[in-house]
Amino acid sequence: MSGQILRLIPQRCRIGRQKPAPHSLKHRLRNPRQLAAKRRTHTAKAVTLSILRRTSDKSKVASAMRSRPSGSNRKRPKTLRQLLLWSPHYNPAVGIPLALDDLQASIRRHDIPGIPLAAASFVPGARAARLLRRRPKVSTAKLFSPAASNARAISSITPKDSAGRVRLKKAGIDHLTPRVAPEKAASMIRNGSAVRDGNELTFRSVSALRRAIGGAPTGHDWHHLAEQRKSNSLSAHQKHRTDNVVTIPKPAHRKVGAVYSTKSRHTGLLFPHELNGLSFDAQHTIGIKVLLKFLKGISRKAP
Amino acid sequence: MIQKLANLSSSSLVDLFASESAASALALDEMNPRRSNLHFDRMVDAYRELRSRGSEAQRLLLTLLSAGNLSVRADAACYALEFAPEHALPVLTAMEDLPGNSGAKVVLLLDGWRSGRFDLSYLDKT
Repeated sequence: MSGQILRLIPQRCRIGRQKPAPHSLKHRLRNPRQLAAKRRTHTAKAVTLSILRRTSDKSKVASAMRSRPSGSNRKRPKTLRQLLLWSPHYNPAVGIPLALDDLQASIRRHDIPGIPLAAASFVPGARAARLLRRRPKVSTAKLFSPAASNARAISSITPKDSAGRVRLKKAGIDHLTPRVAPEKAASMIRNGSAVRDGNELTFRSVSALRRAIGGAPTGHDWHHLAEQRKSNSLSAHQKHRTDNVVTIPKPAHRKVGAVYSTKSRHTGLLFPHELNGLSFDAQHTIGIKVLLKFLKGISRKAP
Repeated sequence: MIQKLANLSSSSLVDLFASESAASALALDEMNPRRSNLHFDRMVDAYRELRSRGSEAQRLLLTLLSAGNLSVRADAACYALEFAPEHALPVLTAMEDLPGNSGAKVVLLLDGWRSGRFDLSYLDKT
């Protein structure tokens, strides 16, 4: 009798009903934090899977390779697809041996707007690697040869000085570059405003750089060796690097600025326009040479 | 202005070149790049007129390679690279180590010369 009555009452009105299963939709809705985490993982998975799907489509890859402009290494890819297909890791026979680190490094290096940098970092390490990696066909003997392991060991222990840092040391103005506190650097790397490049930090904008390095000492300014003007074709991560910024006295900064605002005798163009299009290394070298002309009386050695 | 320059003798044009070059350097020392560029444009006009008169007139510029004003010397050497590099280059390399504006300009000029960016085609446009 009691059983018959119970059947007549709708289930949702019953008192003391069972808890939903831990992985049911209801349960997830009750745990917004868990739901958000799930959503992030799913989004990242969808993104990575779509990358793989796109790149594994052989006809599309072939057509993209045909349309790849000559000297594309010098051009910035505009889409994720171009980034992957123009990657130096691309091997038409095997596909793209896409490790998570490679993808992140490529995205950061090219500073492509619209590509979610965070997408690659949502999925935890091993899983992401499983999702993203297409192993190149390299013999294990080659991979684990003594030479390869030595190279790995050396690069992991002492990252080499960047070319810019070497030039600064040679000019004796290495100590004028900014120092970023390790905690600050770590937090900025975590939130995507900065990227580590060997021993240097590169920033996505001048404001991010200023946040990291703070104000210049009294009577001094931060000076970009390779011009920071928007008209400069270098990417933000190239312009706003710790080895491209030095602190110099304000009068010297004004003088350097005045020289760069005059017309070049040998092209008739303003210097920034003339230097635009040169590589970072060339602009950096010229920047150091010009700066040294105005650093009379400043110690060229670290205090 | 162009008609006036056409009426001047070649030696007067060289004098005009020197005075405009010195004025351009002075404006830069006073950190007024705009005025410096104005004087530069006038200096270019003077050299353009000299150039149009042939190599004899052009070679008068070589007299400025020993000018007392370093900026005048550097500017004359810059344009002399076009027709007498054997005279101009030693002057410029000797000035490469100078501090200040003159040294900076010479550094930029020599960098352009060595890396193949030296291009005086802007003189052909009037």
